[in-house]
Amino acid sequence: MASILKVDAMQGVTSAGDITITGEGGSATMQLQQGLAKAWANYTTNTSTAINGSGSFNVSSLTDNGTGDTVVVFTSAMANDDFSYYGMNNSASAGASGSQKTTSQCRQVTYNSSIALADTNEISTSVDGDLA
Amino acid sequence: MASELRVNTLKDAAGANSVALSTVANGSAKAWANCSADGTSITDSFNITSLADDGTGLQTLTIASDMANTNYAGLATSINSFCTCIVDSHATGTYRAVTRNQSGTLTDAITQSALMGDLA
Repeated sequence: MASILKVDAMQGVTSAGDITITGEGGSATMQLQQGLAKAWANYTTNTSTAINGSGSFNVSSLTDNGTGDTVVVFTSAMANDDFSYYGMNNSASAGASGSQKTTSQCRQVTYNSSIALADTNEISTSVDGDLA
Repeated sequence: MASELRVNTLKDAAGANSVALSTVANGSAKAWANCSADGTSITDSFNITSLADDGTGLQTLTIASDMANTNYAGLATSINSFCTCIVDSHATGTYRAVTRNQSGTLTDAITQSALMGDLA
């Protein structure tokens, strides 16, 4: 029977930050909170540094650090700086990598095929880890 | 007391922002890891049991609860500028992260990786 649960918030019973869900195979389980992306953004650095449309979650602002160098600032901070984040650059023959992070932000650099810092029209960043 | 709730869809109390439980399950990262700059240890992780240092720039990570198949997506980024990191081999219980510098040479660096796909 189909069912719909209408709630504004969910918490674990034993531990507020620990809800278990069953995986697609129907047997393995995982912690819901750990698998959720804690922040993501799709943004441009071409003519200005800005979020593309409504393409972000838990991101309050972007800081332009210069050509191909952007700081993504979180709305709700991470618990520590051990989180993982990933960057993709949609330009051909180009790449993206991180450079530094704190609980409140991560830094993404993008470069061209000559391995020089370069702005681009679409960069995707996603963050996994623990919220504070 | 532990409890189990079986539902197909979640909505907020106003009945908006509907999301299917299948989307929650499919859209969640099934594992992620942040590994040290020397490539020998895990700084923080989820659903990862261990890291094997296979040599400079090569790390095999073992998944705690296996993936259902080898068709999952592996995301990876090095936190060192101009280093690239990819997931180059997929098994249900392990995956390998490969890191290279701007010259294309295998190098050790802080690596961050995540898996999107189906749990077994």
